[in-house]
Amino acid sequence: MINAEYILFGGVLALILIDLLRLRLKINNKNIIHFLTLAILIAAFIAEIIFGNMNVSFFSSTQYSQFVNGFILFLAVVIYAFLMSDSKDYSTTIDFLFILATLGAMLVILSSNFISLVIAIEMISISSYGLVFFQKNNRRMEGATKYVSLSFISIVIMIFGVSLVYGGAGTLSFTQLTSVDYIPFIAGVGLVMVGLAFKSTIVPFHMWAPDVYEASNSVVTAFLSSISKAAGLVAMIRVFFFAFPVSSPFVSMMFIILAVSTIFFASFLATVQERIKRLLAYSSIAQAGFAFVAIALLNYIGIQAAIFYIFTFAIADALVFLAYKIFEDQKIIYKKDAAKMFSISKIATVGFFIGILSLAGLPPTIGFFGKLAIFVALLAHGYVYLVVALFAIILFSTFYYFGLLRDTDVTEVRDTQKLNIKISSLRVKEALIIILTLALFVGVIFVNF
Amino acid sequence: MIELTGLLILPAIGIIALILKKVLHLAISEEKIVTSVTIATAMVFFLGLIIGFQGISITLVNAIDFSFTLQLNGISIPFLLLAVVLPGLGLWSAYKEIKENKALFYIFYLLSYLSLIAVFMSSNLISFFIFWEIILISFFFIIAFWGERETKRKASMKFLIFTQFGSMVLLGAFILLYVYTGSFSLNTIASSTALIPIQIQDVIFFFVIIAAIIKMPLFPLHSWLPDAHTSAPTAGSVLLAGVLLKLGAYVLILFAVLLFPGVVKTFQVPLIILGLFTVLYSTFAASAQKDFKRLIAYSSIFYMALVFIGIASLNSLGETGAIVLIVSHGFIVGMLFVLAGMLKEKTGTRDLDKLGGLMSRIPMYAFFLVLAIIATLGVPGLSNFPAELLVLLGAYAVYPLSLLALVGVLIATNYYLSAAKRILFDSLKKTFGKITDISALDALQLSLFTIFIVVLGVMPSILINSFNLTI
Repeated sequence: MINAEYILFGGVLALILIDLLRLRLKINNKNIIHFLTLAILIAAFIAEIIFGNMNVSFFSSTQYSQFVNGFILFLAVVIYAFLMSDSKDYSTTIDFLFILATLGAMLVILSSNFISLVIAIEMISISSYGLVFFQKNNRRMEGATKYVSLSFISIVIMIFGVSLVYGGAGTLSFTQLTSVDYIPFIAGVGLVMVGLAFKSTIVPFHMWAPDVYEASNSVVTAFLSSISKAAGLVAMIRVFFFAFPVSSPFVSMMFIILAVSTIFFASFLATVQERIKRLLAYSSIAQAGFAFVAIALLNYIGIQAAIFYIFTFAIADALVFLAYKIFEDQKIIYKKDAAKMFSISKIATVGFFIGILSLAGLPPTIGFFGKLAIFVALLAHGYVYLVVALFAIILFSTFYYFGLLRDTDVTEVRDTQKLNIKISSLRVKEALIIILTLALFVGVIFVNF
Repeated sequence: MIELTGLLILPAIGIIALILKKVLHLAISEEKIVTSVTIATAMVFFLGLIIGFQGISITLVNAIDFSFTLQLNGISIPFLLLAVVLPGLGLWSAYKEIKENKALFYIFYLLSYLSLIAVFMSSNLISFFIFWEIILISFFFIIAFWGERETKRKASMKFLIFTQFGSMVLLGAFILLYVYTGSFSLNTIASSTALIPIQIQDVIFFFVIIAAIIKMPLFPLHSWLPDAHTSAPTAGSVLLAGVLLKLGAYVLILFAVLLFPGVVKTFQVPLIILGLFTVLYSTFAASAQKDFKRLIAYSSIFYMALVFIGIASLNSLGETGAIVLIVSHGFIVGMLFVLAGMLKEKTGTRDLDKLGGLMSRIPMYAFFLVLAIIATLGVPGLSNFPAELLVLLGAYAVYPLSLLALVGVLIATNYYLSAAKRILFDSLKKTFGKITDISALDALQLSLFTIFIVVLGVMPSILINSFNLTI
C-alpha cells in the first residue's frame, strides 16, 4: 500500500535529486521545487485518508493515528501553501526541511518503540532548527540558537531516561514494557516525561517557546505551535497511556499539577504582554496545558477528549498565527496597533477573531466543544474542584483574548493609503484563512466522548 | 403550521444580504434590509401564534447528544414575543445613531436578534448555550465598537467578564446535568431528574441561581449593568434591557423552578429576601443618579428584582405575575431608553442637572415621556399594573414581609416623577432655546411601544393565556 509516510519520504529524496539536476542545468527558477513540495504534501494527505498509516517493525498505528496524522497533513498543506504565497525566492532547503519535519511529526505518532520515538523527535527538531532560522536576521539567529541548545539538552535527558527504562524493563517496545519496581526505572519514566514535555511546552519546560515563537517567521511559528506541539502531546498519550503501565492516582496527580501550573502560568503571563505575537505564544502554551489536563486522567475518556482538544487548538493556533502574519507584514506589532487590522484585510481580521474565539473556548467554534469534552471527562471522574479552577482561569483568559479583539476597533476610520499590500498574494492567503476558519466550525463532526 | 426554523431563517437571510451588500457594493441600504427582515420575522411570528408552530430536530453529533432542536416549551411564547418584536422597535434609534461601519453593526444586531429568538426555542442544552454565547459576543462588540467613546473600552470589558462568568457557571450546571442524566436534551432531563442525587441538585440549582443573578441582575453582581447601559448605543440598550436581562429570568424558571421545584422550595425565603434587598438597594441607588439613562438602568434592576421575588414565590399567582412583568417591563423600559436616546439627541446631554423646562419646546416628547413614566409606576390600565399586583399577591401568600417591595414602588414614584419634573417642568435653560420637537417617525416609534403597553394593560389575559408553567 502507498502510505502517506512512503510518499513523503520518497518525495523528499526525489526532490533533492531534482534540485541537484536543476543546479546542474543552471535553472534559477525554484518554483518547480516549491510546487512539487505542495503536490507531495497534498498527495500524502489524500493517501492518508484512503490508505491509513503504515505498520512496519517499529511503527504501528493505533485507533487515533489516522485522524491525528490526517489533520497534521491538512495543516501542513495549508501552512506550506501560505508559506509559498508569502515568501518569494526562498531556498529549496526550506522545502526539504518542511517535508521532513512533517514526516517526523507523523512518525512520532506512529512510533511503537523508544528508539523510533527518539529518532522521530530528533527528525522534527533538527528540521525545525532550520525552519526557525528561515529568512535569517539577528533575532532569528538568537531564537534558533536558544532552540538548538535547549532542545539538545532535553533530548539528551530523554535518551538517558530511555536507557534507564531499558535497564529496568529489558525492552524498549511499547507493547512489551512491564512495570518494574526498581528506582532507576521510575526515574527513567520521569526523564522521558521531561523530554516529551519540552516538545509540548509544558511548564516548567516551556522557557524556549515564547522566545522561539516570537523570533521566527510567523508561518514557522504556526508550524511549531500546531504540528510540532500536537506531535509532542500525542506522543505523551502513546507513551503514558499505551506503553507504561503507570496509571495510578499519584501519576495522575503529578500530571494534573504540571498541567494546571502550565495553564495558570501561561495565562497570567499572557495578560501582561504588549506584543501580540508574544501574547499568542503564551496562549498557545496554555492550550497545551488544557490538553495535558485531559491526558492526565490516563483513561480512555480522557484520551478521547485530549485527542479532540489537540485537534481544535492546532487548527486555531495555525489560523491565528497565519492571520497574524498578514498583519505583521504591515508592522502591527503591539496591541495598541491592532486597530489597523481591519483596514489591512477584512477576511484575515474575521478569521483572526474566530480563531481567538476558539482559543478562548467560546461557541460555536470547536474550541468550545474541545473544552466541553475535557470538562465532561473531568467531571465524570469527580474532579469538581479542578473544573472550578479551570473555569476560573478560562474566565481570566477571556480578559486578554477579548482585550485584543476590542483593540481592533472597526469604527474608527483610518488612512489606508500608506499600506503596501500585494493584492494577488493576499487573495491566496485569505483563501487559506477561510479554509482554516471553516475547519473551526466543521471540525465538530470529529468530537467523540 | 409554521416551522420554527422560519423565525431563524429570515434573520439569517438578512445577515447574508448584509454581507453580500458589503462585498458586492449593492445599491440597497442596510436600513432597508434590517427593517424588512425584522418586520417579516414579526409577521411570521404573529401568523404562527394564530395557526400554530411546528418544532424541528436535527441530530448533529450523536456522540455527545448535540442536536439542533427547536421546540416551544410552556413559557416560550411571552419571551419570544419580546425577542421578536423589541429589536425591531428599537431600530429607528439605530438609524439615527450609527454612522460608522453600518453593515457590521447590523450584522451583529441581526446575529443577536437571531440568537435571542433561538435561545427561547432551543430544547437541546448545547445549542441553547451556543446561542446564549453568540448573544454575549455580539453584544460585547456592539458596546466595544459603537458605544460612547470615553467609556466603551471599560464598559464592554466589564460586561464581558460578568456575563461570561455567568455563562461558565451555567455551563457547569449543564455539564453536571449531562454527567448524571446522560443527555443534553431538555425533555430527557426533565423526565429523569430523579437520577440526580440530592446534593448535586443543590449544586446545579446554586449554579443556575448565580447565572440568573448575574444576567437579571441582582444585588451583589449587578454593577456591570449601569455601565453597559450608559455606554451602549440606544438600540443596544433597548435590546439589553428589553430582552437580554430576561434571559436570566428564563433560565431561572426553566432550570430551577420547573426542573427542581423541591430545591427551590428549600431556599425560598433566602431568595425572596435577596430580591427584597435588591429592591431597596436599587431604588435608593436610582434616586441618587443624575444621568437619566443610569437612572433607568437602576430602575430596571428594581423591576427584575420584583420578577425574582415573583418567581421565588413558587405559586401560580407569583409566577404568572413575574412573566407578565417581564413582558410588560420589556416594552416600557425599551420605550424609556428610546426616550433617553432622543433626549441626548435633542439636547446633547442626559444629565438631569443641566436639563429643565423642555415642556414648552417639545410637547409631544413630553407626552410620551410622562406616559412611559406612569406606565412604569404601575398605573391601572397600563401593563405594569396587573403584573405588579400579581407578583405582590403571590409573594404575600408565602412571605408576608415581601410587601416591603411596595416601599420600592413608592420610592420609584418619587425619583421618576422628580426626573420628569427636572427634565420638563422647571424654567427653560437658555441653551435649549432652539431645539425642535420630535419628528413624525420618532412619534411613530414611540406609539408602537405605547400600543403594546396599553393592549397588555387592558387585556393582560391574552398574555396570561399564552403560557403554562410546564417544560
